[in-house]
Amino acid sequence: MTTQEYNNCVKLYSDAVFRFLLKNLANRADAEDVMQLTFEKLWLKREVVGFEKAKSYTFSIAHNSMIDLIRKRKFVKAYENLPERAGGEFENQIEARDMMEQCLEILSPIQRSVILMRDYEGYSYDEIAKMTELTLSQVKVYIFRGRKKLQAEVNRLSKAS
Amino acid sequence: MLINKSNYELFALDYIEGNLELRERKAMKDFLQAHPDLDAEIESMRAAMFTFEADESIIYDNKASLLREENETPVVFMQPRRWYQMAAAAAVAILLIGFGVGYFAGSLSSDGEVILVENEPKVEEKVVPVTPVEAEGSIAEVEVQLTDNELVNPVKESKSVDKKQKIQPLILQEEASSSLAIVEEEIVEEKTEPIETLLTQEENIFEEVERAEVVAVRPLPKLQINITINSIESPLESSILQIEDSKDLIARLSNTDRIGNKLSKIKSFLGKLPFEDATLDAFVPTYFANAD
Repeated sequence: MTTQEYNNCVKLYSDAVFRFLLKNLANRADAEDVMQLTFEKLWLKREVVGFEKAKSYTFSIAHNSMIDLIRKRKFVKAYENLPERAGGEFENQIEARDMMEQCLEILSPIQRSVILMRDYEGYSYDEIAKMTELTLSQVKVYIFRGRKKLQAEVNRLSKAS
Repeated sequence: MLINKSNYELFALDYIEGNLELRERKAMKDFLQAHPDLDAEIESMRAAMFTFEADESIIYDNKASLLREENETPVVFMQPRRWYQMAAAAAVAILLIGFGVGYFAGSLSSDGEVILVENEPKVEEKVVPVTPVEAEGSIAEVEVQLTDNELVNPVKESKSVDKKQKIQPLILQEEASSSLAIVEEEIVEEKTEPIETLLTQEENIFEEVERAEVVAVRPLPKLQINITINSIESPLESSILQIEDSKDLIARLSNTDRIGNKLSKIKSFLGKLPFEDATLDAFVPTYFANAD
């Protein structure tokens, strides 16, 4: 990938990657940080990454960097077992959230990431598996469980309101 | 195909989205009929799949910070590359210095003098053929000649040494045997000579015999030691020196702060690389593996 192609990647994909990160992290500063890191890594690897694969590669870096950031901050908890919304630090960072964002919060970081890859960018399960280095079965189970959780949460919130 | 509670989640998504093959779809239906609670759940998901839509109004307004000059080589890329280059250059330099020092150390004798390579085989030729008999009585001379390396013509020298060596022990042996024979005769036939004289004669005889034995036995190991020092051990010693010097040099060089800093920078850079470097801390494959 040439420098020109790399710059095209920035122009073409940075909005999508930023939306993806912002939804996942629910924090603009964190999303900004991971954006910088992601494109820096893409730049370093430009000689081995073809332009046609650059978008999925960029999402892949973004996913990994984001998960890494969350892990380092010890935000990874037993999300799967939480019956209610996860509270705490995330909640304090976000002042106004709509129902969708609240729903996203109940998902584990990986569930959230793979669901957003699927819904935002329309990646196939197979592509998501390659990008996240999960198996196809893992991706399907993550997404199914995530969607099931979201469904339950939406029903709960609807009833509450 | 058997679908059960432990694996139905693998098929559920494709079932909801209508992507299962006929056989799998039938198996899934059978399973859901047997589990009404799961059936209700999946039917509810199928009726209204909860999906997200990207908010197009969100844009990244700091694109300029990500763009690169298209005619200029950016600093970010050069830094890591320069570290590698410098590390490689340092490694080559260390090796070259090590070999250089080792080579010169190898050509030094134990006295610190440079021995010409041409002289070494001459010393070996001269010394190796020496037999035990030839060695007798000429220890000092041989040692001096070998260590000083003054012999221009080794064949000539070894001949002169041989002559001296051969003559001396022969004389000693003749003297010893003839004196003993005389003493025996004198004692048996008539005791004309006083005992003191006999004793002194015997003492002299035994002294001489003893000296001859000593001369015959002792030179061998001495000469051998001399040989090993000059002709055999010398190259070995130099090769050991060479290795020790190289190791020492590398150890000392790699301990310096400058190299150490570079190495730590390289290490920290490697730690930041994305997922090809799966062994590094910064990446997450193990996390994924354990997350489920």
